[in-house]
Amino acid sequence: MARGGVSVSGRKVVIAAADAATSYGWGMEACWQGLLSRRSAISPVRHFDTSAFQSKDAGIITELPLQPGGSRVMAMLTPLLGKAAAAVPPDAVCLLATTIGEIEYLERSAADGGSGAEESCPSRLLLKILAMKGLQKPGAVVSSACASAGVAIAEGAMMIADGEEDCVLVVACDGVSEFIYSGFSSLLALDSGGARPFDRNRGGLSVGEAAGYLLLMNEERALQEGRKIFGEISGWGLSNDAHHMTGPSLNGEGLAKAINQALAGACIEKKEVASISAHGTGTLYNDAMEMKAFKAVFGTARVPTYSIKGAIGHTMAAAGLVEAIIALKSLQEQKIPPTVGPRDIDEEAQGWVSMESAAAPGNYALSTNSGFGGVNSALLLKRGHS
Amino acid sequence: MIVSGIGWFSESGCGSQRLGYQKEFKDTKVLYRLLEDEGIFNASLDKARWFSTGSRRYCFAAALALRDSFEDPGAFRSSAADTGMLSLSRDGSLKANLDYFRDYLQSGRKSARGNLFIHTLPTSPLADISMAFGFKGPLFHLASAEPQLGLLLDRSEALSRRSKELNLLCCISDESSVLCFFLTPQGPDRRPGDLSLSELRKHAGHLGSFREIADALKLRLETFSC
Repeated sequence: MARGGVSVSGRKVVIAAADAATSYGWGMEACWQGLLSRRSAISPVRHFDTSAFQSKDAGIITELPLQPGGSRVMAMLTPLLGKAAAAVPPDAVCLLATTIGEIEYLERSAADGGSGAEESCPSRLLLKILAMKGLQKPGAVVSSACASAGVAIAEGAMMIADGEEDCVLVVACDGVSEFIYSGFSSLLALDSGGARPFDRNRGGLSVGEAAGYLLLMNEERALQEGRKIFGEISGWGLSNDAHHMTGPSLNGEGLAKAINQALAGACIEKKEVASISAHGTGTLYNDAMEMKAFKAVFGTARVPTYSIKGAIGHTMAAAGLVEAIIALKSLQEQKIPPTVGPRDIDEEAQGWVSMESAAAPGNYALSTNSGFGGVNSALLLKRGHS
Repeated sequence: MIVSGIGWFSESGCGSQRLGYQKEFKDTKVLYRLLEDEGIFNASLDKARWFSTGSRRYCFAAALALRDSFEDPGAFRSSAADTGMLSLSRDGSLKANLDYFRDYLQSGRKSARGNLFIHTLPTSPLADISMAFGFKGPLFHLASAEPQLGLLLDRSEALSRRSKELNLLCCISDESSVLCFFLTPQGPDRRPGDLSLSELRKHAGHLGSFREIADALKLRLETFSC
């Protein structure tokens, strides 16, 4: 079995800095407090016409410092990474997780019939981030649909665990665009009333936007530099269903495989997992698949499980990174946030998912993501010790 | 790991390293039938006709790399679940993105086509491959302004260190071509033509285009019909 963890070299991978912007506002504390308030941050979309679509709402960052002719992701990343200036060393390798990058360049080019669509390529965005942060190494864009951030974090952790690198900056971002919104609407994947993860009558997802970063470091270096350690990436697993382009495997076998890899890599017992941050999109098939996978791995243990997508929307490539930070916060606080959105928890999820915040004592949290094409990622996060 | 098969699909034709043949691909039905008869595909690939152009290229290049890798073309089936897929390009899914959004604009911004939208991810061709061949390992795409094969090889090695059984299909692509390497765990016997990863890295790790890599590896790209 593939194992994702520190077993190859014994090096520990710690999180030395982290932050994100979500539709709750700037910073992870705003997101955490927003979740605890049980108030949804989904609001009407105003930057393009939604009249032809299934839904009118999304998880929008309402006060973005947009530049004329610029993009939403750059408007999120510029202040966020600017604030992190001192924390990111120039020898960090940057892994950028995004599905569509600065898609506005392509939208404008296609509408005007002009050139400039190439500027939307995520590899161009990566170059801008490298220049913005003065990073010396070339880095890479990591794309794995809505599991992109989970895969990028796993790849970054592998680089450090294997001694390839000492420091990896994982950046994840996606904006709410007409491109994405029209696409999900065409697939009838949006819930007009807002996403209700794990609800008996769930009807689809809400699109959201977010950007964030995690600075991964070799523990030894982080300690030498006197950095605060927010947590540790203890294990990871990656798999693919080979089942359907837009629908997950119905039995959850692929996700269960990824979770088992992560547990094996972290060398921990299942009972040590204090909470699960589920992908929890609010679509019928995703949420059902996830519950099957969790039950296949954890049996009747009923690990406290939540989804944040009913509150901030499905932030696509950024989802796994924002969720990893919230999972770390939940370990720090020893409680899980409520699942915002559902009104009547599905029978399959009862005893696992709660609409209330709940105590979750323990040192490990599992964070899972899945995406189009059947991709799955699982991360095991360990509580920080300083 | 060793490179046990190399397959490609380009503007001028397609082929594989070991078999060293190339076919015109104007009618891919011929190539498809050949590969299907040999048991390369997981199941009848009727779905292939719905594939995007990009997915078709990937699928045939992958099939040719698999044919190269296994003396019994269907033998990979037993290890398919332990096979991952990685790809690398500069522009990702730019063309598919443009196709999708232009089509949406032509509708007067009223309706979009889901079948075009689902191919706007750079991993969509890999997802199609995963279903065609039953591959259930890690699946992701890497992009870089200056893509180099070495990046794919580094990530492949990192994945293989964690699983002795893992096979990997590594694909590097540009606007018109796809080059696939099938990597398998080092076995006791090495066949003539098998390259080690270090040999591949030495010859082509710093290169990023199909033509450059093909030249460095002395792949036979001359066209002939059969």
